[in-house]
Amino acid sequence: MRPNVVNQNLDPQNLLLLYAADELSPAERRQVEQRLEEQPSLRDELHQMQAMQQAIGLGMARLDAGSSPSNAETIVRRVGRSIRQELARPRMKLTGHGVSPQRRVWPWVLPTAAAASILVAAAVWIDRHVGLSNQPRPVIVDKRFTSEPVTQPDEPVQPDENLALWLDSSESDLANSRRVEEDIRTVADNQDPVSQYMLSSTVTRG
Amino acid sequence: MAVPSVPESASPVVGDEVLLRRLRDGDAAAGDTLVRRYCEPLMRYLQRVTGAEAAEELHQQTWLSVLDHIDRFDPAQSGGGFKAWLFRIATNKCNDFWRSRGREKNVREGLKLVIDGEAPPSGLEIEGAEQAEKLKAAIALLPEAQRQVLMLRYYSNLRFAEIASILGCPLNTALGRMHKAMLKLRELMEQ
Repeated sequence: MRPNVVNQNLDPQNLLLLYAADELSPAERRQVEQRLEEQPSLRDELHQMQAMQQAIGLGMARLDAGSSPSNAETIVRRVGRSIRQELARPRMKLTGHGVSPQRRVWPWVLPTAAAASILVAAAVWIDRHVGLSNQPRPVIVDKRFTSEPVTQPDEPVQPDENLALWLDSSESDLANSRRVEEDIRTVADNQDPVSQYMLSSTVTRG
Repeated sequence: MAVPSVPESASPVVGDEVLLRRLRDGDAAAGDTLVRRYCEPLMRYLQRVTGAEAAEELHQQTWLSVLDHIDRFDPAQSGGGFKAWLFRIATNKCNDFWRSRGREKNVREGLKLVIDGEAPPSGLEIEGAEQAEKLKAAIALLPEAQRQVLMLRYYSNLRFAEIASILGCPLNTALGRMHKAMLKLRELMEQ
């Protein structure tokens, strides 16, 4: 049961439209008729409105008569054909209300992606804050990015050139020092006792 | 299992809801009957609101939408029965149509379509024909919301409360649009 429209704040013209269209309840009609008796201006407005509606109705009828739907049967047949095509489809189409396959997939994809993101974030957080918080983190050096030459196990080990040079030079230094020592001893044999002592202590220190 | 249909001519009193139930059960002939029953008012409504060219396509879309949502129709809840539901779907199609194209552009095109889309009446007296042409041009110049109320009222013959429900606006708003449309038409016709 709808509320009484006369008691609502309807515009007087709107109320007259409902009255002219006979869309008021008997009680509402009586209320409007009472107002019409009391207000001649409202009565004039109603007459104008009815005349206008009549003119528009007549004009529309003329328009429609001038443009008869000659292809109405063609339109009906075309729509009928479309309806048959729709009915011939699997029954799921009718109950599915046109939900596209894409819309069926998306509800799965988004929550799955969100859950995966949360799991990854949680794993990273646990790893950083709980598992290894008090332990020194091992330093992992990837040898691919260092300047040291990488040797394969199967390859023969090449002698280090620098090491060989260093060994050669130290051997020659040692030989030289031995020669110097012999020379000193030879010279010392031909000196007085004090010079011999001095020279021998030099050789011993050297 | 499909329920056997009854031709429109043999039983013209078969209600819309009965035909709709048969259509839902797979009876295409019941659909034909419904389409034929509402073809003229629905086509004219669509023609007046969107123009002659778009009307046929929108008419077809309306019926396919009816078929698509047939399980959702509830005669107990739908205030004007099947007819109100049908015109509600058609109105939604019109709104989609307006949205999908530029409104301003459509006002111009709609006017052109409404004026050019129909042959001039042949059997009418000159004065009547002129008045009809003037009315046609005046209708095309109405704002879309006012034109919708006027055409829904004229072609669907639904009550104003049902029209307001279809348009999703208060009763006072629907009535106000109707009143303004009539005043505007009178003004344009008197020019």
